[in-house]
Amino acid sequence: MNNEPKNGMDCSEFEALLADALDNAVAADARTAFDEHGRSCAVCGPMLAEALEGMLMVRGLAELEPPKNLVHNILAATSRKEATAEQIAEEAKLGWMERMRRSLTPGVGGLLHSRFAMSFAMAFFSLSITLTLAGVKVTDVTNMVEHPSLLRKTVVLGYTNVEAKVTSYYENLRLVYQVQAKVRELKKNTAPVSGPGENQQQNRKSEPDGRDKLNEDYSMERDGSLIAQTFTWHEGARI
Amino acid sequence: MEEQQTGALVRRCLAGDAAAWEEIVRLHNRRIYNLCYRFTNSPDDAQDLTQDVFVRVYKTMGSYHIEKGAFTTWLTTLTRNLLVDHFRKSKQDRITDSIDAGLREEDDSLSLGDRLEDPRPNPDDRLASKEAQKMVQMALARISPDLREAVILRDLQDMDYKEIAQVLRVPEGTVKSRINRGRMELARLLSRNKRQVSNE
Repeated sequence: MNNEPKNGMDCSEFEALLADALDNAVAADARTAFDEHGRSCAVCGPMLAEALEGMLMVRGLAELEPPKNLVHNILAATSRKEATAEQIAEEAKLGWMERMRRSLTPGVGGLLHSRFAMSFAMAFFSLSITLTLAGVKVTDVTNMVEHPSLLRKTVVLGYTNVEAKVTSYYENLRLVYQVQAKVRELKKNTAPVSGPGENQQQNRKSEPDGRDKLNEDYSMERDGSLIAQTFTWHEGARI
Repeated sequence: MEEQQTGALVRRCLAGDAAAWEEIVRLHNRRIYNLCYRFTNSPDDAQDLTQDVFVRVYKTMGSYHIEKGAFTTWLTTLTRNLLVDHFRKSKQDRITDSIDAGLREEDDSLSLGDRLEDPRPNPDDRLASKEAQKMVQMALARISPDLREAVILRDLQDMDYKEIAQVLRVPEGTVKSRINRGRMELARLLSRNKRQVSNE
């Protein structure tokens, strides 16, 4: 670019005024110098023409019509943001249980209702106690999941363990009964011998009126009349 | 007048008036959509970006202070920032055609005043056809982003140099220089395209 002044204006001044000149915002005296320089300068003249053409082309672009759903989408997006913000504020006030319940799908969330939750808890504890008593360990289950080939081995091992425990339990129980039986037998053998009437006498309870229950004959009234009689079947007898 | 109206709407919106927010969206969505479209040259991107702009405006409206400047300038600054982010993310080709000086054979016999007054048919007549509009849009998309945004803000958004300087965060002199270079580059690209079309 030539910096020698032409018509009272050099090229840098011309370039600085170019944008304002295209907007018709240059003072009258400066405008004359500007126009003169543009006509006479081989660099600034084409520059002015190009800038003008470019400006007219861009300004000739028609304004586009936005998509019809744009406003609706914007309003929907911002109302969703608002709703989300309110939801976050609301959730911050809730307990962890309620937040967890809400985070689950509605169908599953209903199962966290207190009565269902208690049932599940009881079922879980029952199962865990049963598994513990059966000798199942969590590590065994993990191994089974990670190594399916170990499943059969683990099941057989678990069954054998349970069988051994049950057998051992009954063996111990039998031993206890045997010992108890022996002790009773020893006690019986070492006890002093007494007459059969003595024991009967001790165990017998007498009626308040002094009658002996065992020896009393209920087939007869107290006055001696017969109420009932048993028949003894003899061979050849007739009814 | 328009700024006062927008200022009142902003105040109502900050007070929680949903109708005011809707009014703001209806007033400005066209301008923002056009700005985004002219910059990205993609209707889909323009729609997404316009939506993003308004979501951002909605979230950050509390940070806007009426006394600091016009709402339109604030909105344009926000849009421009999002456009720059989008441009960086999309890694759009920044390589622009080199400027071949002296290729054009321009008739410079007329003075600037004559040409500005009524030198040729008006821009609407010249760019009436869709093809011509498409060519200009394509040329606009090919110039460097710095020049493009300056030209769009001045010639399409009709912002003054001071506002553009505020939006782009550069001095007014730089704004004018970018606008001049952008316009010249556009003219050269279009001239080259026309020559290619006539040769085919």
